[in-house]
Amino acid sequence: MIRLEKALPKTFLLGIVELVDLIGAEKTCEWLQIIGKQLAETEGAGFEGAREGDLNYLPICPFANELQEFIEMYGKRPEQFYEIINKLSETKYQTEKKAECPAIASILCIMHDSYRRRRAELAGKKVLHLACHSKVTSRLAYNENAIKAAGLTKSDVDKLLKKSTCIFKYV
Amino acid sequence: MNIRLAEKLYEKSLEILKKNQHKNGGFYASPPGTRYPFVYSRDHSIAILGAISAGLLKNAEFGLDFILKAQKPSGEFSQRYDVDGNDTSYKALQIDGNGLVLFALSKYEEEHSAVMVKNFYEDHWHTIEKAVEFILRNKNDEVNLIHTINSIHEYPAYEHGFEIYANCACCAGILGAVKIGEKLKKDVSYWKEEALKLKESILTRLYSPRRRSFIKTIRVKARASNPIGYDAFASTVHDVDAVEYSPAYFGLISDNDPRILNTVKRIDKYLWDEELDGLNRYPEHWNRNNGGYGPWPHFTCQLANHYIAIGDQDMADKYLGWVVDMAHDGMLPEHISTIERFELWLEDYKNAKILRNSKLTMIKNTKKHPKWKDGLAYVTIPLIWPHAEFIRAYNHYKNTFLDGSGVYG
Repeated sequence: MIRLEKALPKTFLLGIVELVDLIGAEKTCEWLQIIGKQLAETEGAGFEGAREGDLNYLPICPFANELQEFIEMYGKRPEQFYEIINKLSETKYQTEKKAECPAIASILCIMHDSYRRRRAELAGKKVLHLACHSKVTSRLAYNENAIKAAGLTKSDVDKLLKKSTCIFKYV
Repeated sequence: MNIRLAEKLYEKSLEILKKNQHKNGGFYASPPGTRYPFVYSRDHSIAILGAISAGLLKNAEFGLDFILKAQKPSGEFSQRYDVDGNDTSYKALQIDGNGLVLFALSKYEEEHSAVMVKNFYEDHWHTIEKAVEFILRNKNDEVNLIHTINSIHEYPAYEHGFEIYANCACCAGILGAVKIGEKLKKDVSYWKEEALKLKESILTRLYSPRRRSFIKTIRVKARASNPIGYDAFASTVHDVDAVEYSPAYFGLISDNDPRILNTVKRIDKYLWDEELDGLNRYPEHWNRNNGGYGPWPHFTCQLANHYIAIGDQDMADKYLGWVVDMAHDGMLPEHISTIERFELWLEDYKNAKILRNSKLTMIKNTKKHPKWKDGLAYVTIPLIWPHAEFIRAYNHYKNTFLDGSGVYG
């Protein structure tokens, strides 16, 4: 049963599904990035996460619960979500700045990365998004170019992933 | 109270306060390399109040300049910042930060009332406006109280809704901004009107005549709930909490007001620690003292201020004397527990699987502190906040009971 007072996050996620059908995965991806950026502008300069050495990490994903509830309501992960992630992955390998692309483990990582990146920019920094592990989708994503640019190895990142869901470095 | 030791602690507190102000102006909550090496709006504001009390006005102005420049675009002051003023908060809204920054600003202005540094306030006026407007955006117009998710204990289970410390801080902060605005010949009549409505609500809705005490919180989930009776959380928290003293702490009513006298009587009765002495912040069954249940020097100093204000030197000595006695090498911890309580907390958190990795360093440091051998857990030492509160309370004590030379008057 949908409790209307809690329906807005589900509405947003359902909106993403519909939008892919209406305007395509690429445009929807851009739309999510714009949202992230605009939210960042309202928050201002800032950094996220707990620190471990010169890395930052999130112990839990802020969107995981809502995403979990949506997938349970929808019955499965919508195909449209895969479409967006695949489209972004294609783009990622076409750009020259591969290290500055996000590691995408779930659809909301796109918006989140854009948000985090813009807030870092406002503070005069860039973000290397090294890895993300979605416990909802069980997807584990690395950005190997970002890991290399951070002067780390995948096994360094794996160690930190044991106690986190998302790892990034501000440079 | 041992005045010689109190003087030593005062001098050390000044040293700690100065040493923990970063060159950019922010006061660390605890020194670099320890548990809270960030600038927390709440702790930072109290450190500024400590600096003002000690006459360190340059340090205070520097601190104010730092925090005012760090304001978020929305007008909010974040839970915490890095030393460059970048937001590094990880918790939901703590609106008392807005109130505290404005309150500290107005206290600084009071010290400059003879030669007001007009440019400082003119330069920051837009920031002050945004800070007040942010608070007022979080006011529920049905009950005229300010909504928050976290307050002084960063504990939403007991603070989500209309919480007393946050409301008093915000009310005092707006009234302080009104005073500054009036001196600058700004039209602040709307703020004044809203602040007075807020004050009236604090003194009625957050006061229980039958208990003869202020209460902690009206739990309401959503700020804009109207009518709030239909809100999912609608209930009240009337457990005793040290911050129910806030209406007097923030100067909204006198320490001699019977509502405050009775509230403090209740706090003293239920929160004075029977084993360790010193004042606990809230009841043990809330079970959220990382490192075990026990008394907090900075809340003990706050209540010492009350006893000083009403001229009760015996109680002031009992409270402030405890803080002096418990300092270790001139340093004050966040709070003090016993090994037994520490281990009980650890067991509870481990069994419940809610012990965060970030607590492991605190556990290690507490166990290796020299006081552990005496059966005591000194958790997070030094914390800057209690030093700032001690400076304020001890100056108050000296001005009230001593002749200024450390001799009883």
